[in-house]
Amino acid sequence: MKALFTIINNMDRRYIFLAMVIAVILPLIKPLALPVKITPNTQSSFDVIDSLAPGSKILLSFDYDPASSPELQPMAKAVMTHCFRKDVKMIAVALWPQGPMMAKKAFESLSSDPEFSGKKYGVDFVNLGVQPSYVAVVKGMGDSIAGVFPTDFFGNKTTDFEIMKGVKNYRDLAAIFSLTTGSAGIGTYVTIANAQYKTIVTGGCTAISSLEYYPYLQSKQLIGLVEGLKGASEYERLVKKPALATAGMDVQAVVHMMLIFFILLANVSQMIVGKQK
Amino acid sequence: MPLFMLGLNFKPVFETGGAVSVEGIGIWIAALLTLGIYSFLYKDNFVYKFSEYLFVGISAGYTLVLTFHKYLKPSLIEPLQEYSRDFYHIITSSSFPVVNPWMLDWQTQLIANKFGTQFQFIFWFTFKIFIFYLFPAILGLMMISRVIPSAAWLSRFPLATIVGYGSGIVIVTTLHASVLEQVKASFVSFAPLLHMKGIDWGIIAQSANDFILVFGLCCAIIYFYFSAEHKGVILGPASNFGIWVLMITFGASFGYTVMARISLLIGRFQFLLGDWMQLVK
Repeated sequence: MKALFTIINNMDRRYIFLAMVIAVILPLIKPLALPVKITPNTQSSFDVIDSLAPGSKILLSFDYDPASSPELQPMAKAVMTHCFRKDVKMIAVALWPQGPMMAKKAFESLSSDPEFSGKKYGVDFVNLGVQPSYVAVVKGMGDSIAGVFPTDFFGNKTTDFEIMKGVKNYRDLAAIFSLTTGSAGIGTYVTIANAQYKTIVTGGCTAISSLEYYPYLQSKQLIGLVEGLKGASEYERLVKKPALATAGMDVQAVVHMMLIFFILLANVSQMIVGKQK
Repeated sequence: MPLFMLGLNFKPVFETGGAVSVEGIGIWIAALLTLGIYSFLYKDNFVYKFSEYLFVGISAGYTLVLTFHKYLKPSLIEPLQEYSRDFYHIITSSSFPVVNPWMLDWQTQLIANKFGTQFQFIFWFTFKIFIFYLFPAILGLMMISRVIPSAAWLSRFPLATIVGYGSGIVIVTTLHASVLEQVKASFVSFAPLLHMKGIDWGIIAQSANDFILVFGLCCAIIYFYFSAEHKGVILGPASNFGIWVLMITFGASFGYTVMARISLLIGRFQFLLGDWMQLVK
């Protein structure tokens, strides 16, 4: 026994990396279809969009870059699928420089889906791009969205779009949905758009930032939160369109079990070998 | 041995007609660089270093170009070019030419307010350009003075402006959203529990949750109270419980961090196995 644990204690860590790679690859190639339970936070976020009347307009803020896309891009597509089905119009903005590209990719991906072939840019969705100084941008949209974003991402005049008719500022929007990584995003919308203009704020974030927003959930300043890949897979399940996030959750489950096993094994091994030393 | 004989069907770099596929080349480059970065897990090597330096260089270059085209050009260079052209027209013309729409509105207002002489118009026009464009541009350039030690003090002015402007916008809203609202949310009512008829597990669970929230909050705050030693009947146990609350929070935070990092790994493998090797959809 001691010999075995000594071997484990001295094991090359590259075997763990190899085990990790196998644990990621196998469930991707052969999905396990493990169940995903819907958490109250994701359900609340879903309910905000689901309760909107057809024709309502929301601000969809793409506050992330490609580094966070494995978690947030499936989330963006699931939310946009929901909005398209409910005929909720989306005004996309970004507080991160690469955000508009993520919005463009998500819209292109969904518009190539036959289910949404009738959805038009400028009518059902518009990508207003990014402006510098995110605090000033969020504050400025409280006065005039077109004032902060005079043109869309492609250089067309914002006020010419049909979707922008009757939309001046936050008061003309049903809700704000921010897809956030880092400091610019949900926190900024809660502290400015919700606190000052009483606009409903909901959103999704990378798993690493989600704890940061729990106080806002408790105080109801933030209504619902889609958290990381798990939240994205839950949203995919709620809109009945399983995609990348759902596929990724099998891997999450296997890898987490493996990590727990390795942590326990390492601790037991350390205790036994360490004691005998 | 050809790759298809191994059951592998990599993304082709040539389209059916024989033309080069830009998407295919992009996917191959991204896949090889991804493998290059992951090769560090085996050991530090030249391929990893090359991929790393390439990533850093391209990121810096991309940010620079993006900042110029998305921020600097539309917010400073283009308006200055446009207004310089307008200014030239104004000083070389005997009448008021209207070159862009905001000038028309502004000029009409000036005339209506009896500021309609050409001298006054030129004065206000120059003043506006200075305040909105040249002054911020000068402040921006002053920031770069940090690279020259003898002139580094100049950078304090733009920094002071940023701090002042940022504080002005953020202090009130943050105080309201992150302090007052949070304090308000910590005032929970146990009235439903006291007036409960029969056993309602929903109310009991909610009240227990509220109790943990308030008790945990108080204990965590006590842990950060450093004006008295953490011992005795109240401060000692409360401070210890506060540590437990903090540890549980850090544990949850670490759990989320692990999940986030695994998600990034999954994203890369979905790319490698899907877009590149076309093994999964």
